[in-house]
Amino acid sequence: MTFDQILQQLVDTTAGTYGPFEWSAAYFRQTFEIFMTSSLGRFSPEIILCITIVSLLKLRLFNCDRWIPPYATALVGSIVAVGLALYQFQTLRMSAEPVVAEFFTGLMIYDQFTVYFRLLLLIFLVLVVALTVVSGIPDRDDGPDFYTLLFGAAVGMMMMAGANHLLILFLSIEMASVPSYAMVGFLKGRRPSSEASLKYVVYGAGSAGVMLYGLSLLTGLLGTATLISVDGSTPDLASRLGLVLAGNTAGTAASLVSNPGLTILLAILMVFVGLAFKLSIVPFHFWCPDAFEGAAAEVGGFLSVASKAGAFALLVRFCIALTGNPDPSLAGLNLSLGIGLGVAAAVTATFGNLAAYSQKNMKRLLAYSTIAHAGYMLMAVSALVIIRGANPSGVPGLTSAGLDAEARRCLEALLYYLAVYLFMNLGAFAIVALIRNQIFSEEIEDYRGLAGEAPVLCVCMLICLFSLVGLPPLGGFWAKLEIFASLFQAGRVHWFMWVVLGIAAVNTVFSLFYYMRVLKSMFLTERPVGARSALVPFRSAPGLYVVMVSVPVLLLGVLAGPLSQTANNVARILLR
Amino acid sequence: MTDLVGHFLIFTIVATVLLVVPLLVGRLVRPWLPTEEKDSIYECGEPTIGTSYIQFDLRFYVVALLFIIFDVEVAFFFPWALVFGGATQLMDPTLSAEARSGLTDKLLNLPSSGLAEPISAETAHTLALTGLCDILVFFGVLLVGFAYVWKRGDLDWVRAMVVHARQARTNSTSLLIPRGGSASGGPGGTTPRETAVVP
Repeated sequence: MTFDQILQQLVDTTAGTYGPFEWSAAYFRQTFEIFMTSSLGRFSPEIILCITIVSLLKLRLFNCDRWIPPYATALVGSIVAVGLALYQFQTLRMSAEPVVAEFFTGLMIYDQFTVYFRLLLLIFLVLVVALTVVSGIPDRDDGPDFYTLLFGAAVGMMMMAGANHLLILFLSIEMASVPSYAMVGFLKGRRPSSEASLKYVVYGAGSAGVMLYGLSLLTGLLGTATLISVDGSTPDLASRLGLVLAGNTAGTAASLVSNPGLTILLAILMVFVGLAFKLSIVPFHFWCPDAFEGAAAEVGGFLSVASKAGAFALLVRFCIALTGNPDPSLAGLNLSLGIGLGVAAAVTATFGNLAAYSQKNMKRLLAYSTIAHAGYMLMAVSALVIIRGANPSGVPGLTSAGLDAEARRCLEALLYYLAVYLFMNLGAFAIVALIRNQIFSEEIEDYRGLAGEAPVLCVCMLICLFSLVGLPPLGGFWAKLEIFASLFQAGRVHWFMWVVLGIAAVNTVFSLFYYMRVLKSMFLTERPVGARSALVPFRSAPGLYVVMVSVPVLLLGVLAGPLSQTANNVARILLR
Repeated sequence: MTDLVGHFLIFTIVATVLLVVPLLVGRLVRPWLPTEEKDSIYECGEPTIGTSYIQFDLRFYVVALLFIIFDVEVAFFFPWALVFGGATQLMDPTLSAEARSGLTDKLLNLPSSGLAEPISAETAHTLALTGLCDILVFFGVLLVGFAYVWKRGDLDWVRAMVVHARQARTNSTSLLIPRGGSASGGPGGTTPRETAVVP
């Protein structure tokens, strides 16, 4: 690519492409469409969020926040961004040939996968902002600060989904993490909150350091930092991995090392440490319960969903880049990678569920449940890696095309799970926040008999928790089923996946008990005499909000088709 | 590989020796005549007050943070200045082809081979304009953040005192009493600063 082209890709201001200015709708539409194909246009949802951040600060600066409340600015900004992302997704879906384009000189990538996650994260952002309006945290004075942090983290998470370069991988993780640390400690003057924030920072800094070390090793050994090169013009991870492992190490630092394969494995492991921290995979989960217990439930909800979604997008991109080389000499690396992820996933799910069993605080319980769910979702990624790394001739009954279809199914399962998880986990955290506003407590003990006073909240909690277990008519059921199906298919490549499947199934049954304990406390016990009353009628803002979040959980269970079809298309283009 | 390890080894040994030898020589040679003044903690010629193991005020941290932000910002200006300078040089349409090729190589960070296609004056113009807008946006965003922090009062040395002084001032002006007569003095006076530093 020449310099002129790079510049043009970025700004695209040549008069020739835009045509002479005229005051007509057709001209503006055409200009908009051309702009959306430039790098800035492809980045526009993120830019809108950045503009919102600056306007929030400016409004406060000029004392305009008395007339325009900060949440209104935040809502408008996030909804405009959702609109742009929807437009991008529609354009991508309708385009005759699959669009996969690098932008910002190949640092980031623009395809359906990127935009799917963007859309997911932005819809989630709108819902979280709406929740903060309903629940009243933050107050008006702190509003600009809180939304600035929230939007900053969201921009980082959206960049995670589009990262195509190891540098952006690191930058986006940090961009998402740093505001998260501050948000966890946002309840000023509360000791547990500050403590949680400090723990989160220390863990975060440690794992970021390890990951950075891994990234520098990887870049040095392979001589490239591009994850996937769309047109093959720059060397990417997969092609260099093949070369280096085949002993052809000329021009890279790998020639200095006697056994580059081992060092590369170490580097990959170190990168996974950073990602595992964001995903709260055992043994990098320690921050999670403390951070969630100390933070406000709204923040917990945001972190548990958005930061996981972003990190999974990044993990998938990284894994696909690593397994992109069909060279049989890499099969061993891919297999060990897949099995390693599978072991981590099984341990994480089991640990999360076991630890959740003895919790008394609702936010802690949900934190452990979050860990367990990260485990389930990681299983889909491990199945994906195993299937991608498989040699078609070595698997009885599966052709090369069959393997591709199975790989798509794994990714589809993950994407579907994340979409359902968004609603069900946000619902659970939102209800915790709204109940806290009434009874000033987050202990399961204090939830006794709430069903009589706040039936809407309790019924929606029942929907969300049953969906988290994975009971049939709800969205969580389909999500789990798809993951289990992909694990079963991956088991045909390597038997170990069947072991993981068995562990996952046992876990699902086990998780029923601790979720049921909460529901039992809510529905089957009497409200103690003298307890604070929590009257939340159906026709109130909190009531309507929780219904709005719970209905998609039901809908995704009844009508699984459209979303899973969309997810499959996204996966098809990503794995092309 | 062994070469590298050997270098590391030599380096480590030399560093250790160079550190230990002067200390050892000093210990053997110096006279040892302690007095009370000599044993006391040296602090810029001032007599020390209390122990030095104290909790530092959080406000120092805010100042340090601000310094870091603007420090890093200036660091980001350097690469930008290089590109911007190169682009403005290339904007000159009267440049000779040779000079243009040399500047292009310098701008694109290539070895001066003259193989890269030289950047035209128009492209350089676009690049310079884009760069200028970039840095203005970048700097503008930072300034908005700075102004916001200022406005919130996070930069005031003693927040509560400043609010207090401001209120006192409005009270005094509303009561039409001359400023010097108000009891709390001017805004952010020197007294609160002293109370902040002394543990």
